[in-house]
Amino acid sequence: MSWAVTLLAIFGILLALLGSGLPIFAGFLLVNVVAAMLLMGPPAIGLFVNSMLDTASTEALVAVPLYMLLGELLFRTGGVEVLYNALNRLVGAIRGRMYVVAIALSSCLGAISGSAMASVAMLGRFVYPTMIQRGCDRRLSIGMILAGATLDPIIPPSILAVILATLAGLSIADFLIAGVGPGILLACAFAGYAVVRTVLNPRLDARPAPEEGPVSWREVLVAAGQIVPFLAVIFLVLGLIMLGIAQPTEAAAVGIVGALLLSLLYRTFSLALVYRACFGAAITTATVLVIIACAKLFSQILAFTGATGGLVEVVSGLAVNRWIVFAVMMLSIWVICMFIDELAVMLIAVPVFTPIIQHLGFDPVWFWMMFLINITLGGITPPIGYTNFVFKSVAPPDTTMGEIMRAAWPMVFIAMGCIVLMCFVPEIVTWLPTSGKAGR
Amino acid sequence: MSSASREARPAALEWLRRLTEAGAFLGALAIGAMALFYTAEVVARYFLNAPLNWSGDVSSYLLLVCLFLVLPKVTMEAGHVAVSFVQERMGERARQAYERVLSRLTGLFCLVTTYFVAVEGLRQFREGVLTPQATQIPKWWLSAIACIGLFVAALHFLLPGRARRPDAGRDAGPEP
Repeated sequence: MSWAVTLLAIFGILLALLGSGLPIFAGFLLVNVVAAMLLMGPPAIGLFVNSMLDTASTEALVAVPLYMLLGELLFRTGGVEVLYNALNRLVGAIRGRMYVVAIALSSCLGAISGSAMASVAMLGRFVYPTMIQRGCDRRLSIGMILAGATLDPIIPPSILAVILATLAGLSIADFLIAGVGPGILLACAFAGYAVVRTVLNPRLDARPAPEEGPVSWREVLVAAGQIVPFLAVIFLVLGLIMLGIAQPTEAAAVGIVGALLLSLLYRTFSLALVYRACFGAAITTATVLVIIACAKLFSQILAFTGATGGLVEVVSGLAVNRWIVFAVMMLSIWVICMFIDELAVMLIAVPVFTPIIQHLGFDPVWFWMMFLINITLGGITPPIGYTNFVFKSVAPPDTTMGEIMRAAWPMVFIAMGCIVLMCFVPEIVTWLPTSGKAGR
Repeated sequence: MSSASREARPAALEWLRRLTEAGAFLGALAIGAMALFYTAEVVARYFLNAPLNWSGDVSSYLLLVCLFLVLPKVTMEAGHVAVSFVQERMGERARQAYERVLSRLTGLFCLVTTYFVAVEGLRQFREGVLTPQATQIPKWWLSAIACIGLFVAALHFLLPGRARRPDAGRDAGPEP
């Protein structure tokens, strides 16, 4: 049996198992154990068990629970409400104000949660009804919330970025920092789209609230003062990484101390809050890491079947421009991500793409950032898009799936435009990690 | 089934639930300990110029402890990530039956994996295998924790919903 048939068989079975509704970790568990036993015989048992244990005790992955704990603490301190009110004041009386506030809040939440689904659930539940109440256009409001959610896994610190960097063998610090440029670009593009739409058609804009008069400089300063402690924690974490003072895991620990101080400042600190934050982080950590621990052997199995080497041979034999290969890789991932969880897609794609991008000579930090944006984009792409379903589940009952899908398309096109721009100007991604390295 | 065994069953399930909650509690403590050790490392390294050197290794072990001790809780709360399009298109009864089948299958995989981990753990114990980290511990300690976690998770998959508290919720852990 050639490597291509083996590869197709493994992928076919894995996708069928994942599509059947079996927990993702169980799908990987079954495929890896059966494939390893068929390929290597009884010694595969030891290989599988040790792969699982070693992955579950990888020091680099300690960053995952620590960033989750940081996010949980920041959420539970009550800072998000303070943030929303302050941003509402700071954005001021511009066209499309509520849409800009939604994107700005998403960007800040991105620094906390790092999960598109968590963010869309929160924005859909709390911000969307306010936007509708204030007379914002329904479709544009949904689009902004979905767009804002796509920022979350990109804006650092992001759990998905930590996992992807670990899987792809990148520097976690470089990869986290690389998300800053694309995050800002996407946020500006989404907010800019809303402003342009409301300038062209003022009926799309929110009605001014009766309590909202002109904002004085004093109010702006108070609002800025309210978010300074919150942003200070985020910038402390990022600053420590960027300046090379601390490793990402150490920076997360410092951030946790900062978040605890913040809870003291907001007078929400209690041992119960700390325990609940640890508990929430532990549940999410176990949910995510069990998948990674069970899936890690997948890359070794692909290498053992000769599929990894075979794929590189095929790609090197192709007489096509490397950008066409890049486009094919991105398109395939974009389509798969409409159906399958981002983490599962990462675990399948990383072992296949790593040798190909090495061969094609793409900057790995840039490539995997494009990949990360792409898989997040898959989550809001109609007709499926996982994130869209999460929004439907939290939105008011009169919100239809068709409305959500129509709202998502412009955001998908804007994000695609940004991806194309980052292909022409890769420095948007690579400048910060490169200059950060020079400074370290 | 005799009445004695009928009575014994809920008691056993209650023990399973308590064991699961205890595991989740220890998992949450492990996360807190990781944060504490890394903070201590930052203070020792950057302020006292005397790095601890063991915090990373110990935290990596705690990561494994957290994963496998919290796994039963995630299973009990049906919190595993899955692609649920197939179930969503089924009627209520068909969906419940289908999910039971999936749950039993996953339980079976977990039991088989528990057996594999136990076999490998015994080998590690006999041969005195140590972890590859700088701060070494016997590797069978990790295998034993993985065994416990996988086994209890398997029980939850095989007995779906039975050990679950009616008020169980993913976001709310027991008070310390």
